[in-house]
Amino acid sequence: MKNIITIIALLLSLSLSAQDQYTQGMEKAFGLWKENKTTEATALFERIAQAEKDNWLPSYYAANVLISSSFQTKDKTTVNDMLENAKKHIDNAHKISPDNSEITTLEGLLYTGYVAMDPGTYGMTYSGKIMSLHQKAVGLDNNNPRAHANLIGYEIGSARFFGTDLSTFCERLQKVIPMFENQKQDVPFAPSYGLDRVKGSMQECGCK
Amino acid sequence: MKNSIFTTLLLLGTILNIGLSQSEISGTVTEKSGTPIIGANVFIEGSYDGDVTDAEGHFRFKTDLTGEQSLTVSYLGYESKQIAGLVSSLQNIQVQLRESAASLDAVEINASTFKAGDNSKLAVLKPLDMVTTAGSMGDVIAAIQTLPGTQSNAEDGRLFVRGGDANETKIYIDGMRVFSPYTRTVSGTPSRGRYSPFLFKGTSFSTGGYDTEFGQALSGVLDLNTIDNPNQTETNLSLMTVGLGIGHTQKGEKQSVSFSTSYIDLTPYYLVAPTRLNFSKPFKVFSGEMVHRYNIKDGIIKTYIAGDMGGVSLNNKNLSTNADEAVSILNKNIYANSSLTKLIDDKTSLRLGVSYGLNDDDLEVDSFLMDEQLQGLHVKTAFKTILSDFHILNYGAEFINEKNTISKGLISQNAFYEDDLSRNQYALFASTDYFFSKNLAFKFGLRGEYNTLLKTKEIDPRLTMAYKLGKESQISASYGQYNQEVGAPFLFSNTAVSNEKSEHYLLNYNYKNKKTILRLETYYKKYKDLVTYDFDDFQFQQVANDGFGKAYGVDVFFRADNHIKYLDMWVSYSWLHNERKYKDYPSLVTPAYSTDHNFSLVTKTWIPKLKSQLGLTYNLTSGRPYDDKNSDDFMAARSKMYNNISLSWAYLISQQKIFFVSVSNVTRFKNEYGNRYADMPNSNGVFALEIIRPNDDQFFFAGFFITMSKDKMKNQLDNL
Repeated sequence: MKNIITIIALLLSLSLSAQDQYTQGMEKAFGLWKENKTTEATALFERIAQAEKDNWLPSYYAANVLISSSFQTKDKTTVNDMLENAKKHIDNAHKISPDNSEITTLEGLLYTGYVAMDPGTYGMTYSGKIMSLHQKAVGLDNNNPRAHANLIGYEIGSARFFGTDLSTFCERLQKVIPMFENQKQDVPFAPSYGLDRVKGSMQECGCK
Repeated sequence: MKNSIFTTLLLLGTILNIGLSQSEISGTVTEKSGTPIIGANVFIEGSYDGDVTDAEGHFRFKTDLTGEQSLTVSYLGYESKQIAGLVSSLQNIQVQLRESAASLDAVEINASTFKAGDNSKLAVLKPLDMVTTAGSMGDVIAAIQTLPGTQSNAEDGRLFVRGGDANETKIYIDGMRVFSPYTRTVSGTPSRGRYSPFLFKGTSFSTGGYDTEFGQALSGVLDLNTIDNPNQTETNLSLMTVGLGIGHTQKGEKQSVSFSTSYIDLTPYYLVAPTRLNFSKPFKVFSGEMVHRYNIKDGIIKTYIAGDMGGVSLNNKNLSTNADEAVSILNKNIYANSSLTKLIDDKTSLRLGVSYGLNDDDLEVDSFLMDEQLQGLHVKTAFKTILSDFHILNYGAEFINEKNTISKGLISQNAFYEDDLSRNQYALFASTDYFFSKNLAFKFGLRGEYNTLLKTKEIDPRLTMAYKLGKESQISASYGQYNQEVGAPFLFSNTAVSNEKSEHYLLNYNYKNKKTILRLETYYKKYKDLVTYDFDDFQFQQVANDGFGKAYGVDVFFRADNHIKYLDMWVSYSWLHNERKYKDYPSLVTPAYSTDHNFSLVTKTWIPKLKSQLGLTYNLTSGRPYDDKNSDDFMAARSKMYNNISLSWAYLISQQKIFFVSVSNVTRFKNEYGNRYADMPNSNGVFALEIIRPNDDQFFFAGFFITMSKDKMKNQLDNL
């Protein structure tokens, strides 16, 4: 009997240490990302992803690092490589967790990356796709603030282009803020960012 | 009991022990040349343990794992490598990675093909250029005619490639043959491609050296691809000076359907605008198209159906009798194709398709009637197997059946000459792409065909080599043999003929950077076994394969995007020397459709302040050869140069409403296409002549386009 308890305790401690390894690994990767070591951060998220085959978060963040830093990168070839690599991670995340609002939102952002890189080539072709991905993301989880923020963000972009009054977006942006406050944090490392961007948009649109 | 506690302790001890003894793994990652690879991800498979290579390509990390493990080295654009071994042995190891041929900047083996679309490395046109080019008015073929290698024949409208006749270029939709791609018109009125650009995402146009997958074409291949998955549910309305159109796309979870119908009637237009033609009933056509897409696991099934019905009646002056003859055409056409694309496993993908076309033309000239019918069936299966990043195989088989019926005679006599014809073509094709490195690739293929009616067997080899000169440029050379059937009109009376043949030699240079594309291509084409005949008594007599010819020239394409902000432009120039002796030609001459110099300039500019897109297209073509019947020299005369400036203006009234205007030949150049002669000389022994002029010196088009969709963003600017 004692034997069994010992073994169970042992297994438990092992699995706890595995859990720890995940937490440590993810925290380390976030640390690298914060330090702007994007190559290292992506590489670590990639490694965690290939070890944790049933968890979509490492792939999601690997793609997220690449997409976010692509907006800061000027060289078109590098951007192309980054986005292509990000697409692989998004595909993998979709496979693990189909119909996931967060991953779908990120996919919308991926195509926005292409448009930002070369509006002439991708502007018209990807606009519809980006909109429909964001709409799909909202449809999958109406309480996902990032899905709403990206959808409104893209609409603001084109309204800016047409010189339409931006203050009409205030009401919708306002509604997103409580969604950030009500986010459930039951899964460690689940996405919770994005409030700053919404506040930035509100400022741009001249909202009170 | 004691024993088991002991065991547990031992177990615990071992585990702790593992925890304590870490091994170090280290090494260097380089390219074959020894250049270090910076930023490669090196790790033990299935674990978190790993490192990223530094500026010298070095990596070094510690692991708790022991025993046999697999070390993975991966870097984007390179083939990943796995090294298995005991952890203790994984020290100071040297890893060489090979650049993946599947990477974006590998040499492009099909450099000779013009592509429009977003996924191709050497795309020269953006997807929307097909339709936003001034003067093309939404006709896919008209936009293609601004590319080098084509001969613009404004009064004909069909595609003529590098000295080849229009029937030497075959048109495909999703890889499946279109049997009657053009609407039938009366002479001098340009025919349009039947298919609206609305439903296509990209095109690939080859002016020579094309793949073994395509046969029965001596000069060119145009493949149009329908959209896989539309973005959203939407409705489009268009109100135009020439007719009305409505389209709708319904998007569902797994499937989507789009349809569009239009009614074009030029009657109101010609009440206002002048024309040289004496219409009794101007051109009218009712058409409809439908695309259905169904997503399956690892694949898609697409079905495309199109139909149209239309006609025109007019009076044409007969130069011999000086009297008007009534000419009328009634045309009915149906086309359907269905294709399945699916991944079979990690390495092999399958395409399976079937297409069917039925075309019926009724032609009446004065008291003479002709009814022509064409029925075609095409079945194709094609496989692509990726053996490795460096070795790809394409292979497949196809079957084509074509049936023609003809009936003609004088209406008054009520006795018609009737004939019909059916034949099967079987073909097998295979080619292999082999990359010696990322910079040097080689393609070799064979195509075998058998025609059941003519009992002809053909084996056509095709070969291409491509070499990358630098980051942004490459050269390629191709050789290929091609053949095609002589065509139905000659087969009715005679099945002892064989196929027409051509050989292509191409040399291509490509330069592409972010804003500029330069493409130079020079070619030499040799024709043999072209059809020859005597036309006598309204019949083809002595049909044989005694014709021959050659064509050589240079094609230049230059495109500059945003060198000046918001200005997009491209320039095409083709120089062609073309000579043939075929049909009933008495000697080796340049045929009437072939011009030595062709130049096009296309510009587009977006003016944000005016919310407008302005387009300007300029065409210049050297004089057209024609046969002066009052001179002894055959086909020695040349018409004047052809000039045309077209302008277009698209104005976004709001995000979903667009007003569009376009005008062709703004400066009203007096263009001509050669001369037309009477069949018989007059009493002075002179053939009466008439200069062939465009039917309309200028064409004006205006339209109002509305899109209705949930997101209120999309508009039809893409389609103009």
